[in-house]
Amino acid sequence: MSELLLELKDISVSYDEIQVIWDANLNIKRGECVSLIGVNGSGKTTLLKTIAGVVHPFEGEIWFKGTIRIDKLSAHQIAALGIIYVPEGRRIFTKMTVKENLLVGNHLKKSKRKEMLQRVYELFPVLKERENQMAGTLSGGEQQMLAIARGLMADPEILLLDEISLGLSPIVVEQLYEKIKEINEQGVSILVVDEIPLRCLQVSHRGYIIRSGRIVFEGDSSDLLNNKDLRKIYLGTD
Amino acid sequence: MDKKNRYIIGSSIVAIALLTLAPYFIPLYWMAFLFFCFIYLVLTEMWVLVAGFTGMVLLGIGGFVGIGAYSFVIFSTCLNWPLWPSLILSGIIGVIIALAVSSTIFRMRGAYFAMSTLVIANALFAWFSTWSYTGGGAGIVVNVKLPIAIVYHIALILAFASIIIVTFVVRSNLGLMLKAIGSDEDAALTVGVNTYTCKLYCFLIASFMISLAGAIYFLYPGFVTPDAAFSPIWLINTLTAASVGGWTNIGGAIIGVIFIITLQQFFYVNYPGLSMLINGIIIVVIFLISPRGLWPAIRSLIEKRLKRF
Repeated sequence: MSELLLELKDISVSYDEIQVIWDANLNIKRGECVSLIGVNGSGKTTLLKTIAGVVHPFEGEIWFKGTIRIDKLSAHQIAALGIIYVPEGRRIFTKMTVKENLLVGNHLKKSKRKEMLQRVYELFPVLKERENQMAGTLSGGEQQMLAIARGLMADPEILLLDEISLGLSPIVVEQLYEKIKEINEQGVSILVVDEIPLRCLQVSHRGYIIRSGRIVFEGDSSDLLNNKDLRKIYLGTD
Repeated sequence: MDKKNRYIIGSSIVAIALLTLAPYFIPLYWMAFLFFCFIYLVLTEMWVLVAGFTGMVLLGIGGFVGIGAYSFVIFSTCLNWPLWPSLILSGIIGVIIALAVSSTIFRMRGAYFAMSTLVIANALFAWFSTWSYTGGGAGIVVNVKLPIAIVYHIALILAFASIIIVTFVVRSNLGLMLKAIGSDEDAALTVGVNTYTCKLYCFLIASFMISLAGAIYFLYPGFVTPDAAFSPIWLINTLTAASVGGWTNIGGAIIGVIFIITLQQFFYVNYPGLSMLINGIIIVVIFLISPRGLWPAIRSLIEKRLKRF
């Protein structure tokens, strides 16, 4: 857990004239699960999209494995490097079958198709049951599982998970986080973004708190969970 | 499934054999009718690929028909080149134009993309209306003398090829990417699909086939005018055929084309001014009652009935 997999250096992002991220510094080491926490509109999703290449920063650098600079690359090139973004609101291909969705996710690593399919079906058995069903007919939780599984099919080094608990029942969210822990234990580094901080801090090693576009705190998840002041100020719980 | 496939292959072999032999025993009128069907089948299959699966609404379909037609006239008549190189080159000119405009129009999506392709078609219409080299608005005679049966057979081959091409593309890895792009382009990007290249391949295939269809079509009337070559009727008929057959239904396109050509022949003969209006009404009604297409809806209805017995 020592190699620096992803490093953001002083990243600033703006949408047209409006700046939304100021000098963000963030890093992920190999095998780590890191959470990024903040309220609505704090810039979490923007930061993930910046890493994924959907949005480009106007200042700062992003380095992958310390040697590859990725902040100027396009989204599909970044995905090809093994940084896979699972977008907010699931965004599965609704008019394709579950299996077709997975195959699209797999197209960068076609040589590993069988192995990858087996891996995601083991992780999410329900997808195996429904592999020939149209993805749009799945329940919300299953769709989220499919979105994560589709990302996993690319055999990623880093998985960027955006708002995975959005609109899902607490039980389903609980199950999803169990799976995320499992995926992380398989060796995939994860950056997870959520509005509900407690659950995601429990599965992650470290956490960052973002507030109005600035990263205001960085530390071990246990510190974040136990520090009374921080809990009160940033997480809104006692 | 295997049995069904064998049935489809068997019946299509019979159909192709009959269509190949048809010029020797059917009257000229019906030969022309089938010829129109073949040309529109090419356009409709390409619509299925580009608009149906990939989600790029190519309103400028008539632009490529016109490019093909005029390229063919220039090569075959103005430059007096032989038939086959002229035909193939007119398809290639379509590809070159598509390649030239792609970097600009691929920046746009949805309605903006659709409108930009329409604008290109209109610009080409304006150009050929004034270019004296090809006779301007009065048009130009295609100086190629071919027996009608040969023209018919060329169109048949092209129509058949278009079905095969679309079927293979849709089943290929590229087809999977295209379907993903049609479903959610941004999501496809984030899982590493090179959406630009995939869309470009699809667009180039379509521009080649549509331009070729345009070139072949004008062998039949024997002269090309800007009004006919860049006519909006190409788009309207193709759109109607695709809507009847289902936008993502390769086989349905055949039904759609037969439907629209029959209708057009009937109304064009009896109520010439009304035929376009009637097409428009049909499209709207189909979109209202069955957006997936009329034929898929009818088929599932029949299948349901059959299951009941």
